[in-house]
Amino acid sequence: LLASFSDAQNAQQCPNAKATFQTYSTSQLLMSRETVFIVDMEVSCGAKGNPEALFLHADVNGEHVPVVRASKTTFQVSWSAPHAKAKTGTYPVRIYDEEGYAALRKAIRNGQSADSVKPLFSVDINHKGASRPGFFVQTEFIAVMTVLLIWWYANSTKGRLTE
Amino acid sequence: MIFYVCYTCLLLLLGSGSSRAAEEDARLVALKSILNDHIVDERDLTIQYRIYNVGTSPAIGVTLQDSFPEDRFKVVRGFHSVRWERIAPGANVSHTVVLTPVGDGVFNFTAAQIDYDVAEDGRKQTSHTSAPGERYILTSRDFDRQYSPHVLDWAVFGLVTAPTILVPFAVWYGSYSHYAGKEKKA
Repeated sequence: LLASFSDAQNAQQCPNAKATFQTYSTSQLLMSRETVFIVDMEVSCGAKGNPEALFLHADVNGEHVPVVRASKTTFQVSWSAPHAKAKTGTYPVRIYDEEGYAALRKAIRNGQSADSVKPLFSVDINHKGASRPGFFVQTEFIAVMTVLLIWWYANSTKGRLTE
Repeated sequence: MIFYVCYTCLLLLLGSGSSRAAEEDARLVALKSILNDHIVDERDLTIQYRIYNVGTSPAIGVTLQDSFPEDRFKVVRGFHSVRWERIAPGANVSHTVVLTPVGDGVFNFTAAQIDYDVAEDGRKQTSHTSAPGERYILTSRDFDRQYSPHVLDWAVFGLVTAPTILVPFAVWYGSYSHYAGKEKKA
């Protein structure tokens, strides 16, 4: 009976939970020593909901990331990783409220899959990788190699002719 | 020896009596750092805040407030005034904001302000992060001069130097093929 009461309260907090997201991940190696990931979100709970009462937690690939509140309806999730560890790909960010996160931890302790607890919100960050300006091979290197090739061709031809 | 032991005991007794409340409080140490190697006009500027609770109580209602003049920076992603409900003792949290500088030149990055309750009884504490200090914001042109691949520059260089190689080559090849052909016939 108590559990269902808290569920009802929980549902009252945010009955029609909707959120819009804006994401970011580092794309230029020289602009940051580490790769950073940011999710900005704006939450609405419908006419009867109260986003101010939400305490949110985020889970990214099994790691807990705290969620900070920026205003009555906006929140942010951010974390960083060394460039070498921040591989290109999709990072699923699952956001839970207090009860949802407790349920998630309990499910993991009992050996159940994390997917058995449904998050309040979910968003993916498509990280395209952080790179330096320029190509894989430096243009200066290409220029030097071209000149060396020309020189080698001329030298070996001259050598053949003067034999 | 005995005197030394007694003296230490006395200090401990006196000390613990008056500062018991302080020992059980939360204490936050905060760093504000710029993650860029180079700060360039119209490119991303990544600022990271790290807050550590070196106290023995959870810090409650931690707010971080920072500001950037709108005529010098635009916010790309992240919020610069945020709140954590609770930071556990011994834990650390981080927060990141990405900005874009508008215009180049020197800028003094000042400390951000941190406010929190040191204990459940609601005693408040105001603190500051570290300040990254004065940094120079490069123009796009100066940064590209050093880091862009200069493809167009190299292409033009190649075009201009090509005649000095190709013309002698063509002359030589013309006479070579002419005489080489004659040799074979003979």
